[in-house]
Amino acid sequence: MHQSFFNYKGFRWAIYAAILSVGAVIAYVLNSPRDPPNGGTWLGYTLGTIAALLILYLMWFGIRKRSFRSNSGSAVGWLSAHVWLGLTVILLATLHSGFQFGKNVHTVAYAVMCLVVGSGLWGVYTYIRYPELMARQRGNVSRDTLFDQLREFDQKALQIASQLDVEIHDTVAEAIRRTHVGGGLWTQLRARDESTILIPRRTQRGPTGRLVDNRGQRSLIEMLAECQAASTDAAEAARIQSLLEAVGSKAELLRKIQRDIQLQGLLQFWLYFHLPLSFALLAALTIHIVTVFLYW
Amino acid sequence: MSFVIRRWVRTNKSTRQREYREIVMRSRQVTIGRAQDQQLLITDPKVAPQHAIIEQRSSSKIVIKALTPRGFLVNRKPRKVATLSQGDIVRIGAGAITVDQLRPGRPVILGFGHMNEPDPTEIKNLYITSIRETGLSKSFWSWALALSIIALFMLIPFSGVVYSALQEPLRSTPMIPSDGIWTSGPLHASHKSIGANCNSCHEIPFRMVRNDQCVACHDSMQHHVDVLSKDDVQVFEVKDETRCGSCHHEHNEPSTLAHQDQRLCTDCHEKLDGLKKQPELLNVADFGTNHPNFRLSILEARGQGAETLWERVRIPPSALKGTLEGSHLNFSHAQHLDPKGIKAPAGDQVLQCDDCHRMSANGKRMQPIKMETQCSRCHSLLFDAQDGNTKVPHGDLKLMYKALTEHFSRQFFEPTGPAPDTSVSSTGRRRPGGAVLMTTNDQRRASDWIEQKTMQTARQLLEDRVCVDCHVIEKVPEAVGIDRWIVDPVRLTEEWMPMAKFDHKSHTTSTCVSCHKNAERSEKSSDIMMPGIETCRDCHGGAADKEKLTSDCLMCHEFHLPNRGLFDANATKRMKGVLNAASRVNRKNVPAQRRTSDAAESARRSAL
Repeated sequence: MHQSFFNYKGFRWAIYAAILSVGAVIAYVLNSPRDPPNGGTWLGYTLGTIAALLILYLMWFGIRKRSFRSNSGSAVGWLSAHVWLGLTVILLATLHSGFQFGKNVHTVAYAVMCLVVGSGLWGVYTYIRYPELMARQRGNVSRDTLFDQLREFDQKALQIASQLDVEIHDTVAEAIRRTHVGGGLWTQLRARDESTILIPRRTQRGPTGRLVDNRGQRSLIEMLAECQAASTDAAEAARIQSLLEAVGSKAELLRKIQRDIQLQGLLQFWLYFHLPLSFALLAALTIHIVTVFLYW
Repeated sequence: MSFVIRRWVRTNKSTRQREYREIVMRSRQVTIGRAQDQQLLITDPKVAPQHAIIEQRSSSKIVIKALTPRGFLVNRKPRKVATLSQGDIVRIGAGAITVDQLRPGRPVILGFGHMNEPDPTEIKNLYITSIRETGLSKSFWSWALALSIIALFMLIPFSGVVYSALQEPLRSTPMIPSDGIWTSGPLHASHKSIGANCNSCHEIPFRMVRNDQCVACHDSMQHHVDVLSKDDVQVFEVKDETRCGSCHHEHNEPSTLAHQDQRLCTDCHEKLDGLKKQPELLNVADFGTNHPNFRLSILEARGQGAETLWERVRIPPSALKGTLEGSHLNFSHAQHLDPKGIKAPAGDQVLQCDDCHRMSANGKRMQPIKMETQCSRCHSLLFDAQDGNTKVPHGDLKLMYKALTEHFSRQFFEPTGPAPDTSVSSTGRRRPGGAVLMTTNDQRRASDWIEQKTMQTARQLLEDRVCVDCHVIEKVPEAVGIDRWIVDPVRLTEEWMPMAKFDHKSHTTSTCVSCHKNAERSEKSSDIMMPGIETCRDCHGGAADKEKLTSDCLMCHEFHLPNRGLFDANATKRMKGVLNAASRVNRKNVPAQRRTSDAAESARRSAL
């Protein structure tokens, strides 16, 4: 079986995390503090200290990840530890709290921690699911190759269009120029095709140029199909036919690239939550520790 | 107003003519740039998304304005704004715009085309294909979130700690975080009146709440051990420093005023052997498994008659078997509880416990048994069976003697009723309307007769039938008159276990005899009917008992005991100072509170 961060060295970190969790639960169950369970009993302090140190260790992963020359274990080993111990922190912090929550900075710290771990789990999900999906839907070729193919289809279309009517040629060239890949954050994540085309449209006040939605090259294809239907020349109709085929292939390719951008975006997007939330947690955790002793 | 855009499409290879496509734009302006929505789209990464704009000011005046500092070339000259005239050529990156027609009354015609095909490697740069390129920044949001949290939950509340003038406005303004947001849990309901002022208790930052804060309100709180005694030092070395907060832990859920955990007691009480000066204190670890049997405190009479003093004596469980309560009362529970009934004014009556024993108003102890309220319902103090009004008073022999004397005097002189055994001479007899005339002889005889009758009745009452039924009566043969008898004063023990809280009201589901087991068989009032620990253990288990009612120390005992001295460490020290000074001079100078507590304490100590 392929060794991933999931099962690194025979689930080594999963086992460590499980031992830590089970140990904490047993200690919590066996311990009978004199007050209601809370962070201020000796077990509360112990669990809190372990959880806080774990959080610092988990955040150190962000630094370790970037230092490629590090000798402190392999990157996948660190990731494995990060994931498994990260899950443990939720349990340790919950036991540390003694299930006491309220409208206060301590519960804020707890909630932020839950969000950090939650976004981390989202990351785990993306790393399990999307890389494989990306490779499969791209057909195991790189995105650069896809762009090269896109260019080939465009040139083929232009080449055919140059033998056709000037208006068809202009429309094809315009569609190519206004073909859109990627875009803003939501456009990328939703794989929305923002391709447009600027063509004359009839209005009540006479013709005017309008930007028309060309999602999936549909407007272009419709227009070409109309021209083909209207064409009386068999040779011209045949040319339009091959033009249509080129545009159709392009549209398919375009979809593939947009989906690839989407998956790559999703693969990265969780980290835009996980990382800022981690720093928010560091701030909230520090405040939690300071304020508990400030008003002891 | 409109423009006509002549888009250059291709150059006809045979005619070498440029071929255009004309598109009418019905608007006052034409947008130019790299972005999708621009009317003149230039696919060149060097061109800004919104690069420039051409505006038609009048039918013969059009102006081009750059929207980026990069500007454009007008007739090869760099410009950022320019008024165009016919024939001008504007270059923006790979795009070229020519002013083909600009004449009044004619539409403005702009030629537009790309000068050269853009480099395919550069085309990819036109697209934004990753999140990083969208401008979303992890480090920005990291800083933003972390700093917001620091500001909201630390800096703003802390400003009130540093500048006290800010504290009150912060606390009273809703939606503004104050130091209340640092609370680790709600206050107990009884402390809510403190309000939102954390500093009522949390006085010094990074220091645990001190007792001074507690005794500011709880100033009369007593300690557990005698604050002035050195005997307790072995266990309570830190009694002056004992924090209220070590038992009374606030801001916890579920909110309790005091910890019920019995380890707070047993930490010390399970190893009290070390207290050499207080050997009477026994080890205890748990009510169910390790608790000494009850040591009853009973009253013992010292002295006789009016001089009787009652002293509370604590009986060890081993000595309990032979111990009798010396209440000086003759009473048989067995006789009174006879299931066949007992003689009562309205015939035979079957008595129940609560016919005599009534709960006190607070439901804790029983009301004291009194002749006037309980016994007299059946036990009349009639001394003349013929006359229903002849009752002697209870409680004082002298009064009884007086009452009897008055009675027989009245009888002697009664005009109507003949006194069969009186032998007063007929001349001395009173007549209606006549003066009383008695000879000295008659007077002596009358006096003798009254005294004789009085003493005869008194002797009957005290030795034969009424008083002696219940009371212990001693005879003093050498004395004269009524002083020949002494009725020993009666006092029943009311507080058998002064160190325990017991509540009869919460035990009403049990019958009396289920705890006071030998009540129905007891024939003497000296029998002790208090239940032992086993009886309690029928229902009460230890703190961890799974089948019985879990019972911890505080269910029956209290921590703050009376007459131990104030909990306030400073008060203790002050008192110690006074005491030390006083002991050098004279013990009498001890503060009043201490002296009064000494008296009660010596009684308690002897009872312990």
